[in-house]
Amino acid sequence: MKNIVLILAVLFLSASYSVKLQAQTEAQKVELCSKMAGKDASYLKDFTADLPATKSNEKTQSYKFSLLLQKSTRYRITICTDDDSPGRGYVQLFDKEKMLGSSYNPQTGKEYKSFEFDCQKADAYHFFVQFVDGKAGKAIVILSYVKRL
Amino acid sequence: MIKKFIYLIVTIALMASCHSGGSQKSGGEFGENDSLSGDSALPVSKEAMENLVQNISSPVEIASLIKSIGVPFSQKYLAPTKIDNFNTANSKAFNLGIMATDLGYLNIYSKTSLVLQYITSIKSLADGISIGQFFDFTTLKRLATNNENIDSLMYISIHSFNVMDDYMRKHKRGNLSTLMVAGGYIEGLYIITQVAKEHPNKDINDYIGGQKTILNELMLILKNYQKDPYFAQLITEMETIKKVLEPVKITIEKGEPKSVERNGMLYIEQNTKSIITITDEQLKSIIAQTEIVRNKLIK
Repeated sequence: MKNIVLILAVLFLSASYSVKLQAQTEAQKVELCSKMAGKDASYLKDFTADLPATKSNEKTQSYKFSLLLQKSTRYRITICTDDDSPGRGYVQLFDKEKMLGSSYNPQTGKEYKSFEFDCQKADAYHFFVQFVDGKAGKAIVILSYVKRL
Repeated sequence: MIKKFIYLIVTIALMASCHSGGSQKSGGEFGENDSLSGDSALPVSKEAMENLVQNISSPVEIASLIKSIGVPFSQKYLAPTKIDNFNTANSKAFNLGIMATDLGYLNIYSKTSLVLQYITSIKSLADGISIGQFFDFTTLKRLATNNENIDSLMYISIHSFNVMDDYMRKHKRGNLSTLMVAGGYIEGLYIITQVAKEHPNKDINDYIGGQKTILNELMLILKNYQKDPYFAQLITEMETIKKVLEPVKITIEKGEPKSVERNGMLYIEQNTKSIITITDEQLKSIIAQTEIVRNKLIK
C-alpha cells in the first residue's frame, strides 16, 4: 500500500511539473517572439498556428486570423516557428480576396522572419499562416505596432 | 490515513489539471482554424467576423498617436477607478475594457504612480468574472511600484488582456469578450475625441473619421448578442455614435500592392488608400455624442 502511495505521489509531482513547464514554455515562446519583433515595436497580439501536414489532393492547411488595422499606421508581423516544428511557417496578408504580400516567396524560396505593413486604409485584414511544402508545423505570429506614418 | 492521502493527491491533481487547461495556449484548442488554399477567395465567415473584434481598439495605437503629436498627459480623460456599481458580469466585462484602455494610456505616458489604482480595479473586475487568474497583478504591481521597466509593464498588461480575451472566447463566454472589446473601443474613442476638442490636429481627425469603418464592424459583432438586454441597450447607445459618423466621407484610391526589401526587411506597401473628409461640424457632433454615450455607460 505504501508503494502505491509513493508511486501516486511521484506521478502527481511529475505530472504537475510537466504541466507547469509546458505552460511556462508557451508563455515564454510568445514573449521571446515579441522580443524578436524588435525594441522599436510594441506588442499588440499573438496567435499560435498548430497545423497537421497537408494530405495529397487536399488544400493547403492554413490557420487564419483577422484583424482591424488603422490607417496611417506601420505594423510589423513576426513569425517564430517552433524549434521542433517539421515545417517552417510563413504568413500571408490579405485585404479581402487580394493578397498584399507574404513572408515567403515560393518562386525564390526566400523567407523573412518579419515584414512591415504600412496600412493606408482602416479596415479588416486577414492573415493566413501556412507551412512550407504543406508540412505539419507550429508557429507563433506576433502583431506589433511600429509607428504612425 | 493512507486512503485520505490518496484522495487528497487525486483531488489536487484534478484541480491542477483544470487550472492549467485554462492558462495554457495549445494550438489544438483553437476552434477558428480553417483549412483552405492561400490563393482561393476568402469569404468572411461568422467565426471570422467574431475574430475581427481582435485589435479593434488598441490602447497602444491610440495613446501613441496622441503622444506623437505632443499632447501632454491628462488624467481627466480617464474613467474613475471606483467600481462598486458594477454588479453584473456584463457591466464588469464592459468596464474591464474601459480600464484596459486607460491602463494603456497610462503606460504610454509612463504614469506608473496611477497604474497601481487601475490595476487594482482591473484585478477586482477580472476576479468578478472569474478571469482574474490571467491578470498578472503581482508582477504589474511590482513593476509599477518600483517604476521599473516600462516595456515589460506594457507587454505584461497587454498580454494579460489578450490571455483573458482568449480564455473567454474559448470557453463560450464570447459575449463577455465582446463587451470587454466594446468598452475598450468606446474609451479609446472618448480619449481621442477629447484630445481633438482641445488639440485640433489633422491626424487625430483622420483617425476619428476612420472609425466609421471600424464601428460598423464592431456593431455587426455586438448585434450577434442583441437579445441580451445589456447588449440591446449598448447597441442603442452605439447607434447614436454610428449616426454622427455616417456623414464622414471616405473615398478609396485604388493601387497595386508592392513588396519591397530594404536593409533585409520586407515592406508591404498597400498603395490603396482611403481619403477621409470630415467637416468641423461633423467632428463636433462626434465629440459631443461620444462624450454623452461614454459618460452614460461608465455610471
